[in-house]
Amino acid sequence: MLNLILTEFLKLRRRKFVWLMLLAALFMPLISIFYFGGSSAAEIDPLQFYKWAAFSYTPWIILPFVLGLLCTMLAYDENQNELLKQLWIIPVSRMGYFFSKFAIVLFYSVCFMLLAAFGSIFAGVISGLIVFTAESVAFLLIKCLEIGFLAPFAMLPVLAVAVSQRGYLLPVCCTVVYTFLGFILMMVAMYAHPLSSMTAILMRNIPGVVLNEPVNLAKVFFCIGIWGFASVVGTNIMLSKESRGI
Amino acid sequence: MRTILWAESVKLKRSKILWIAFFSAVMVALIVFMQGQFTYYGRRYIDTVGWYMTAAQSLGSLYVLPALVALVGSYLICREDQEDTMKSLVLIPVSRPKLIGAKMIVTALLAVLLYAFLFMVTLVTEVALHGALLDARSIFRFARIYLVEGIGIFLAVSPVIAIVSRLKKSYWLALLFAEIYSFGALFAGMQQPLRSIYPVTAAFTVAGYYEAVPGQAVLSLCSLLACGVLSLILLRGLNKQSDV
Amino acid sequence: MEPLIIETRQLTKVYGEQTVVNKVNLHVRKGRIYGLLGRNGAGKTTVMKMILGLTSITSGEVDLFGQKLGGNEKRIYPRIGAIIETPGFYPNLTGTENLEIFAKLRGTAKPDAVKEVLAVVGLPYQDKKLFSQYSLGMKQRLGIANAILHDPELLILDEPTNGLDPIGIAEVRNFIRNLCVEWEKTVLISSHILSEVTLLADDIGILHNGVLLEENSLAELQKKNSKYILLQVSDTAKAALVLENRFHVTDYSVQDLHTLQLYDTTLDMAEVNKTLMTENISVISSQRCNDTLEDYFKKVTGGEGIA
Ligand SMILES: Nc1ncnc2c1ncn2[C@@H]1O[C@H](COP(=O)(O)OP(=O)(O)OP(=O)(O)O)[C@@H](O)[C@H]1O
Ligand SMILES: [Mg+2]
Repeated sequence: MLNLILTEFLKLRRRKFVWLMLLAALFMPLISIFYFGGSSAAEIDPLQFYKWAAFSYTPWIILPFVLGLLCTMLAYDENQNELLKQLWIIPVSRMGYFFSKFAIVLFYSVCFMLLAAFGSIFAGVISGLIVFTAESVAFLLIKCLEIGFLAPFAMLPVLAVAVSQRGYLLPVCCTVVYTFLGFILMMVAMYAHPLSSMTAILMRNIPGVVLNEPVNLAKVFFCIGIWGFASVVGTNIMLSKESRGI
Repeated sequence: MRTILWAESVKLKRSKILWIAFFSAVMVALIVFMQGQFTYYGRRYIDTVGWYMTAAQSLGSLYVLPALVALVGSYLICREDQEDTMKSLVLIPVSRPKLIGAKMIVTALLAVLLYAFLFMVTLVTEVALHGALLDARSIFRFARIYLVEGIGIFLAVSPVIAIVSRLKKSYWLALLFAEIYSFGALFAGMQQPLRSIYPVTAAFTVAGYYEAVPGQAVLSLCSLLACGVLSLILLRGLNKQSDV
Repeated sequence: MEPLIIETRQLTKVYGEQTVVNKVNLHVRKGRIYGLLGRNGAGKTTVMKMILGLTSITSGEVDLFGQKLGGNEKRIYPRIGAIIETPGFYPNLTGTENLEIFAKLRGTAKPDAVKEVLAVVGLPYQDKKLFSQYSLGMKQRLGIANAILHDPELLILDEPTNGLDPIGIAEVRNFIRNLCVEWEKTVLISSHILSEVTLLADDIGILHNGVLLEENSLAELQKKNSKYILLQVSDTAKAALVLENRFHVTDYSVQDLHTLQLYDTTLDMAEVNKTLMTENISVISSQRCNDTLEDYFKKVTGGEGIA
């Protein structure tokens, strides 16, 4: 398994675009600078700034979209170059393949959120909008790691779709629709969708965010777990079917 | 040009992209319907006449449809390289700018069709929900919003598609860009001069979704046309590209 | 002499730091089949791409039908049919639908051109099978069909028999011969199957590491190919001595303890045999040999040859 993951990293060599996508993490910090524009450090609580720069839109739109694209890219190249059949006869197990991809996504997601965190601190402090306080930064980092770690689990269904069929059109569309669904369900049925469940975890203890009811962690993990489990099982079935990809 | 367009339409035969695009449109309608179940001060969103059609259009245009249009356009363009048919086409010879132009036209048509389709779906739902409360004038207004929005969104993302045809391999970047670009409209929509200029919100303005004084509408129209011109310029540059 | 259809002068291609094609002067004459030989990575495909304007030329010139390609695409391309590597088609369409697209885009006049070329390459007309479900050979056949769809004067074929079965190869060979003999078409074909090229080509160019080592007609090459007599004897050292003293032979080489090669084919072998016998050297065999094209190829490229 470790070897599989290592080879996954090797495959990322010279893939400029994968790293370019990380820049999307800086979008919200930039927007926040404009948003808070005229205010000065005295008025803005650092957390309030971070709430915008790191905890809004990045976790529930940008990050899922980027991860969805990453999943698609990882799986698509393998499919395109007729590589899968060579992998199966090595042999690589179907699930090993799936989880090695997942490991990459997980790693990438954490990197992405860390970059978002540093981007936020940087944007805030450089523009003079906020002051650097250890307490707020620690909170920011913990939250970002939380998101970075949970998001890949919430994105398992997209990875499943990406891995279990050939083209890139369907996974990309799924990413868009899935992300949109998660975003909308946040208000309507939080515990039905992994992404909105993830957002619930994120929101549960951010100062200044008022929720209708306290977040029910059991339900959250149940939701992410059940979707993730279904994706793994689904992928297993799809990949074994007529020894797929050949 | 007619032949190239004809060929483009034949190439779409049995292609999954149409299904996927229209399926996504249905999903948008469905998801917005779910959003409509949200109660605000004791009243469900969906119970307000016209809310559904307004929300489907605006939410769709902010989060899903621009990326979808960009996807369709970049797929049409990149497939020639991916399926390795470009060299056969060059040898015919088919001029590259013309070919891409035809693909742009097809994309524009599909964008309008997509919006028209979404319009039909939401209209049927709305009529089923509120029936008589919906008058002909507002239906007409929505029809106009959806159609203009279709063209507007196409124009707004056309530079993204044009960039894709130059990047060839990095069309992923364009998809990401299209998504961020379209939801950047959320922020651009907050302040006035920017709201009329930012192409995605400009499409909203021209379509009549935002209230706008004539000056702003003209500004928005100019912004959209500028997008169109920009993509034309980008495509012109393709002429000099060799190496197939 | 027939006019030149393709002429390249000092054609050069550099990818990054690697010179892939180096000052190639290629001459393809009208009505002849020109076989471009070379090992994997020799630069055959790159030369063809440059001739067709599919990739930029680093330096040098190409003339097609005596004209430059740049600016004359509309006039020159319709006179050329080409397969470069394994050609791509739209996977969601059937073979017939694919060809119809290309026919329409070319504005081919004949209404049943598609049907005819499909018959030529042995694929069914209006079949339900999608291109994505084609086998390797079928894909290649469709590529050939597309190349000859518009009845071009010049065919540029990059390994056209790649993936075809033996019968298919023979069919394609006969077909190309036919085009040349009956319709006076010109063909530039690349291959690394030497026997194939020997059977087909009139002229041969040998490309090695981007350099055109040799360009000649097949007949000329075969004449140049050294002929020799292979002599197997009990003791080569003694035999060599006899040959030098009695027959004044200097042009020979000793292969091993029992084998000699004599390059003077005018020797009277009966006499040689008899003399050797009387000198107590037993002759196991003696035969006249011809170098094959493959041996020749090995010799010019200095490599192990290709199969
Ligand atoms: N796009 C490219 N970028 C860099 N190098 C290239 C490119 N295309 C080809 N080459 C290099 O050019 C050289 C010649 O390639 P070419 O495809 O012309 O060989 P070939 O004679 O057709 O070989 P084969 O018999 O395998 O088809 C090779 O060393 C190859 O690596
Ligand atoms: Mg080649």
